[in-house]
Amino acid sequence: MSNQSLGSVFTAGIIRENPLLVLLLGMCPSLAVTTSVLNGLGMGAAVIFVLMCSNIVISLLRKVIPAGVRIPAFVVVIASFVTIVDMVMEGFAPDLHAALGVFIPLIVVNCIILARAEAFASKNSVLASAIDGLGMGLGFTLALVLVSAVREILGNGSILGINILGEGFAASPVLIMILPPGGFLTLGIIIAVMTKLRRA
Amino acid sequence: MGIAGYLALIVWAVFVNNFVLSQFLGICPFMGVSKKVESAVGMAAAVLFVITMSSIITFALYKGLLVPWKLEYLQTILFILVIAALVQFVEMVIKKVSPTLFAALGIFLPLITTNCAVLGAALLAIKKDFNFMQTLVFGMASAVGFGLVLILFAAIRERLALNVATPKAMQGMPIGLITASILSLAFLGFSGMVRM
Amino acid sequence: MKQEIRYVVVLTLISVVAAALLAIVNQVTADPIAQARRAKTLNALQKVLPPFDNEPDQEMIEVIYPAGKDGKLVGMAEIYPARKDGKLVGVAVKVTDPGGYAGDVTFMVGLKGDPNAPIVNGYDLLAHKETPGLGTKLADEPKKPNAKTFKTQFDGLAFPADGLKVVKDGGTIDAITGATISSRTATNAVNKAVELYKEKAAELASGAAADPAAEPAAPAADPAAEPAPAEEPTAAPAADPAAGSDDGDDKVNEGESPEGEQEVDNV
Repeated sequence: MSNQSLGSVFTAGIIRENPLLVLLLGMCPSLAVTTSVLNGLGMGAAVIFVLMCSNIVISLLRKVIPAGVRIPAFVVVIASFVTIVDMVMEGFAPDLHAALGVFIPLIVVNCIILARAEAFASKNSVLASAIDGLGMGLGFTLALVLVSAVREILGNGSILGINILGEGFAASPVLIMILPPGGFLTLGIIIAVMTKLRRA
Repeated sequence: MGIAGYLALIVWAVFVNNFVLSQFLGICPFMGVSKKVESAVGMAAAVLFVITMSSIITFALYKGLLVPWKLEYLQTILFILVIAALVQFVEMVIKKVSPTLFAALGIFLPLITTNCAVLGAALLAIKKDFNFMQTLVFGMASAVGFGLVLILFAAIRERLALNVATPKAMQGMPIGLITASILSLAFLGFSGMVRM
Repeated sequence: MKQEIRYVVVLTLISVVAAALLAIVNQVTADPIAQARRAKTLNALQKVLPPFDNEPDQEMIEVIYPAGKDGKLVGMAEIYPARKDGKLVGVAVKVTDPGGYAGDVTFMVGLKGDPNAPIVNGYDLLAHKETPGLGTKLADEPKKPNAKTFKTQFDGLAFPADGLKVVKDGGTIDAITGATISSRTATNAVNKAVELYKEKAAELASGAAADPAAEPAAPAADPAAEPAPAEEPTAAPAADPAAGSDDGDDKVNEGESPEGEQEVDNV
């Protein structure tokens, strides 16, 4: 594990082991916040921050935390960074904070973060853990942006709020896409496409 | 809130505001456990218990400890620790009482800790400023809604696994998600039924 | 035993450090958060009020009123007076209508002019759970300067004596196609806002110079007493409306206020 080059650690999170589309982790926020690309990006940024910070801290403390209490210890570390993100967002990006709602504190139970802490950060150097966090976070963000792009284009005729399919479409878009069924549908199809591409 | 109000709250939490199909809470175990009806029932029961207990404890801690001391920002950490402890406890109990269920649930039992539904229920009850009774009813009803969908889904997937020749790339998660999307579409019909 | 102690020590240390860190961040972000919350309200106020130079949210009046079919529910509204050069130029009323398709819909309604025949200055949709594409059209802004949407109907609208209603109910407001219920929440909210404006007109007008003496005697929930003092904000010179209308308020309302207050309390 620790002999992997940093480069391959980084790219693993983006394609080969994309947390959402390959490892199938973190689906709850992926379905809930991907109603617009902006929200997807915002959530992605928050997750990158939490992933990197908690990976770094857990890696720093990996020789100090006894195996028996590692899960609660990890959880406290992760929850602290999630709370920091929550407070900072409420103060400096209130619209995004309102849009993401309860899913910001729910980042703490995003399986991706705990899984990386357990599988990587607790066994690797600080630098490698930081890069792993960045790679996984970026991969997650990319997946979120992909899903939200599909949903926003079809469900609202826009990307990042900018109308790109014209007035006519925007007046009556495929609304179901920004409602819950659309979320399930989009994610399901994208995962299927990813699976097919990986086998090819 | 009178009896009518509580009944409305229950209908709202189970159908209109269903945790899985409208709120997107509890998806991971939803996809993983729901392949057989028996394990779905077991999981639903475990989640019901954990959500009920955690709603009570987190509510008490929030109102009794965090609010008076102005430590509301510690709610995420405190709640998740409470839930983690509760799940450990439930694991020990199930292991003693029914080793078969314990084996059937496998990895998914400790994963209840990371089930967004449990933490979500606690956080949402605080956000909506429910009183104790409302929090309890909301938590239990939401768990029932989760369980209902879990069992429905398990039944559908059992049939799917037997009959349909699903394309390889679609097998497992994708077809599960598409099935969920149809179920979610059906539940969309409940919207507006109860106002909360 | 040694292992257990180590567990507890490590966990406690981590928790303590975490709590300390969070306390610091909490302090640092407390102000920006308060600002952000205030900015949301101020933003809505800017949209629905004529130009003003006071701080309406500092003079906000909270009103509790019976709501729901049999008056058993409690509705809460917030009235923000807008003043320019000390004179009341309009009010924004934040009111929540519980009759939305999926629950509460909160509006910030702008009103100006005489409380008995006010002009609606438009509204801002603050919170809702309505269906995307239908109820959400309540918030649609016109894309071009002279385009019309549902909410532009309320800009500069003279309030009819018997209240606003959608065309289906015999009124003049064109409802959103397929979203009559959501549309009705808008008319209900505006009606309620006007009702509260009338109720609190005296208090709003006299509150200008921050004269605490005016407040206790003023809470008049009795509309019958309103016409006399209500005329004064528009008729009286800008110089000192507080002094002018105070005496009038005290005399007319002293007799009324106990009953008025009781009406509100019985909710």
